[in-house]
Amino acid sequence: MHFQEDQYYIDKTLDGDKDAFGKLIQKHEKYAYTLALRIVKNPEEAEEIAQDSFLKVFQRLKSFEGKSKFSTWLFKIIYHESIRRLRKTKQFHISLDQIQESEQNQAEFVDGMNSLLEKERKELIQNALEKLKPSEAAILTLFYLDEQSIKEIEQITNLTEGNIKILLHRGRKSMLGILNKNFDPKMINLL
Amino acid sequence: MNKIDHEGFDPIGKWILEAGLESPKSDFQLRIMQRIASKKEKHVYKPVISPSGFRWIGFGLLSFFMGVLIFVPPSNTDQNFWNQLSAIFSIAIQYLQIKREYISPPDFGMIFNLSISFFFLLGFGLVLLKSKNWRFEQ
Repeated sequence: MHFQEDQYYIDKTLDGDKDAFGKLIQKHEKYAYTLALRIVKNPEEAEEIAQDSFLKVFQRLKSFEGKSKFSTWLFKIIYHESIRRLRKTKQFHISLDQIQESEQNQAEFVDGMNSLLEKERKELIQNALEKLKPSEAAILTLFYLDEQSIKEIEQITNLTEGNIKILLHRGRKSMLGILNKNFDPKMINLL
Repeated sequence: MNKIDHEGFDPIGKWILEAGLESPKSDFQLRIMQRIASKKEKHVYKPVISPSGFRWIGFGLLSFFMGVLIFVPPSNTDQNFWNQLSAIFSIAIQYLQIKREYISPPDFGMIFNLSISFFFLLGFGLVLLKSKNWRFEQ
């Protein structure tokens, strides 16, 4: 489906065209839902967060000045709503401690992962993303999937550039660790 | 760092992209639109009198109130605050050499003056409140 620039839909929505806001939802719903899901790890709650966030966006659309990207604004609302909910149940904290680097056959492991069938690799990755800490999963999702820059991630999360880089590094390492743990070399032999 | 990381070889990045996006339920958009519609129905405030209309009414009420204070002559028997205020205005007008028009003197008592003052104050408060609410909902 081809979409116009966000500002086009925003202007039309502000002129009273509700369908334009529907298009804006369609354009961003997967990113919004994925970000919420990666943080809260619960599909129902993630949907609720994404819906509430779109509703907030609609109510505050007039105040959107276009200084940042619309997606940055939307993800900021989703990110903070998600961590607000996690903090309620004390499931969210940002740890910036150094982690132990492990260089155990990393190249071999990466080759092994790449030789898996796409479907199996995808399953392993999704499983690893589910096991990642919410803060790391959020940063990895924003950085890779939404291709947000460090500056934009700073705006979304209110973290400093240094903290984001640490979380990115930790996220990558944690992800490799989880994948390494779940990766069964026999899977390659079965192919 | 950002540019290098997005473009350079990074297996984690490649795999996360490969894992792709998750999809919400098919009626996701519809449910948001329904919530927007129901919220709109509940909160839409369409005043019969526009904010500027309210301001004109407020201005009219205030002018009338001031007019009553200035032009209604004091009662000889009642020297309360409102009457004194009226007298002060009269003196001020005379001092400024403005010809004071004499309106046939209705004999308003203290209770009437107080009541009408409170009525105007309430009216003015209502105007302020309504115009504030109107701005919020816009």
